[in-house]
Amino acid sequence: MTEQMTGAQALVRALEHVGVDTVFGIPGGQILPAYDPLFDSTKVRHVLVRHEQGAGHAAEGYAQATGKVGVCMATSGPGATNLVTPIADAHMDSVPMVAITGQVPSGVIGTDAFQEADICGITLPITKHNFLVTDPGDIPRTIAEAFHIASSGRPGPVLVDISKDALQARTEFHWEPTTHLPGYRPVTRPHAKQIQEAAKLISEAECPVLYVGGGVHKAGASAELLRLAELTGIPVVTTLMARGTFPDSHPLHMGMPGMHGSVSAVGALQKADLLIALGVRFDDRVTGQLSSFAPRAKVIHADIDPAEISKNRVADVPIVGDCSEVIGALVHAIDRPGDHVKWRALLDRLKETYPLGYEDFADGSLAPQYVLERLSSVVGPDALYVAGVGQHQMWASQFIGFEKPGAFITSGGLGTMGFAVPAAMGAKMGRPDTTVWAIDGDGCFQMTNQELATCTIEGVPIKIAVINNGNLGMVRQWQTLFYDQRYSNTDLQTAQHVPDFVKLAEAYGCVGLRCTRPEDVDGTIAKAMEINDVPVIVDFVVHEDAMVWPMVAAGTSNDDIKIARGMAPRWESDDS
Amino acid sequence: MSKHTLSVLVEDKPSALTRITALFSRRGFNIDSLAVDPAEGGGFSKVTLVFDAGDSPLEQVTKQLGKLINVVSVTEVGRARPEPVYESVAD
Repeated sequence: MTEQMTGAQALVRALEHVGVDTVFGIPGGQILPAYDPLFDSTKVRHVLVRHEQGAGHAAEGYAQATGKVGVCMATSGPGATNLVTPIADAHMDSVPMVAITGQVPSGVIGTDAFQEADICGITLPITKHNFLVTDPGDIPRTIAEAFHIASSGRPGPVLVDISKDALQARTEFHWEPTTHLPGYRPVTRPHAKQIQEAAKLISEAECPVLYVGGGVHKAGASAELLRLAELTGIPVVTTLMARGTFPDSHPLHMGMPGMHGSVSAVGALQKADLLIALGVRFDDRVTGQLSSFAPRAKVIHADIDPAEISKNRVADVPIVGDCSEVIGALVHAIDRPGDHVKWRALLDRLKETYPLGYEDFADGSLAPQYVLERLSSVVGPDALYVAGVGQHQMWASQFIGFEKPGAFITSGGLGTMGFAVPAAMGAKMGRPDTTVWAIDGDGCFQMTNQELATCTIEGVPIKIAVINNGNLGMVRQWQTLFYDQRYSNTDLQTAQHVPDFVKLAEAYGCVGLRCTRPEDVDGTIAKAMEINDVPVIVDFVVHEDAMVWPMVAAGTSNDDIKIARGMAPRWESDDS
Repeated sequence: MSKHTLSVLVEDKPSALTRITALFSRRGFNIDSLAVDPAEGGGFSKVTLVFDAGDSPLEQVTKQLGKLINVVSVTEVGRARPEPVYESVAD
């Protein structure tokens, strides 16, 4: 059935048809026509944010908490360019997102019109695909294609830029539109021969490791992964993007690998004779110096994106496919269970000898790691934890016990400071019945905390633990280690209460709490847990000298991991 | 130096050529020459590129090209038996 309506009405109608219930955005001149029918929609809730970057990260948080496509909307020019950071972030972390932007009328595109920016050109390298729409008749089909591309195959961000005249003109609306994507057909089913090859390598391996990344969570394959690990007895490491995909408490779990990974996880990769790499991309933060990464290991690499396979490390058995199907097929193909007793004993010794740890400070001030450890203990594994980027993010990954897939949402690949507050807001809107804790640094928090206004007004009671060390902590850590303790421009003076986060919270209609002593941590967290009608911000004032350990310095080998400054683990003592 | 010639079948869309050349630039491959012709059947163009892949394996280029939504197939030209190295085909 066809109906007459404006392009703007067709846009809103199309969004309703693809199942959108929440859009984060800010109106402006060129997107204004779309906001008029949006005002009347009973199916789509528009959340008015305070900055377009907040809209983008909120859409990411919503997408990661629900598995659905997150949607953000902005006007042309500066509205659109403010979305660039979250779009790049979603591109790096494979987050399904559709960004809709207004564009100047088609007749003036290319004339440097007021608030004109070539957002398709700007976002070309950071989107999975983008569209410029100037014909209202193309709007429904483009929206259908954008959602299909964003959510299928390797998920990612898609931008739809619509000229104002296309939004205003009348058109015939018809659903379901005929999509036409002759160049897009993601492969999800793995090749049977490759599965057999992989099963053979797995049965021959003496020291295999399951190297698990975000692709396994995105494929919804954590149950299959557990089955594969328990069937084969193969130890598991979970990357930053896969925390919770395999339970931390499981005896086969060796921890997070990488620059701030545990000795047992890094050691497992370095000593392995086979990596079963699932939904990972051999990121430099995991591999360290590539030439000395897992030097003995053969590699089975399964990913839905063929371009990831053999990009950084050549795969002996490449498998293109959805991780759920791949792992399912592997479980089916492996005919005899393994044990790997000797190998596991070696890794268990590493795990026991070099657990994640930290030191308390003699002056009675707070150790940030203690705050995260207690948060995990008091709040538990059913909550969603959303972290920004930096030391607090690494401590969150290390000291929170993740037991459930998707329990940890953070900015991995792009490393976007300011991610946590808006992403937590989006996550909470997607999962209103789940407790959502943002864990942020004082630097990160000051980049996007304007969205506290949105949280208060829209009734989104997130909780925020600001790990306040008064500094750009991770940068300061590098200055301590590599720049002779010359602390150039890392002291934010936040410890001197500029701004005062408690007052800031109150100014935004939130509850602000402060905690400065270890003995008050549990009580403060409990108090925050009792408040469920407004957002709560807890200013945890921690010692500025705490550092993230273990650490593999950038560009060096994983073999040179340090458990503290100048302290290396002893690898070979028990390796008989 | 490793010169290659690729023939890329792409949807005839305004930004399709930019997407291809931007990909080469972003991944650090230098294009020596480039030609665009309408492909048979209409709605598609054939882009022929000669480029230097440097130390990178050709496979990375073809896979990255295959990821572009508008690219339908990629064929290496000048091999004994040219066959598509990437092809989006209906099952």
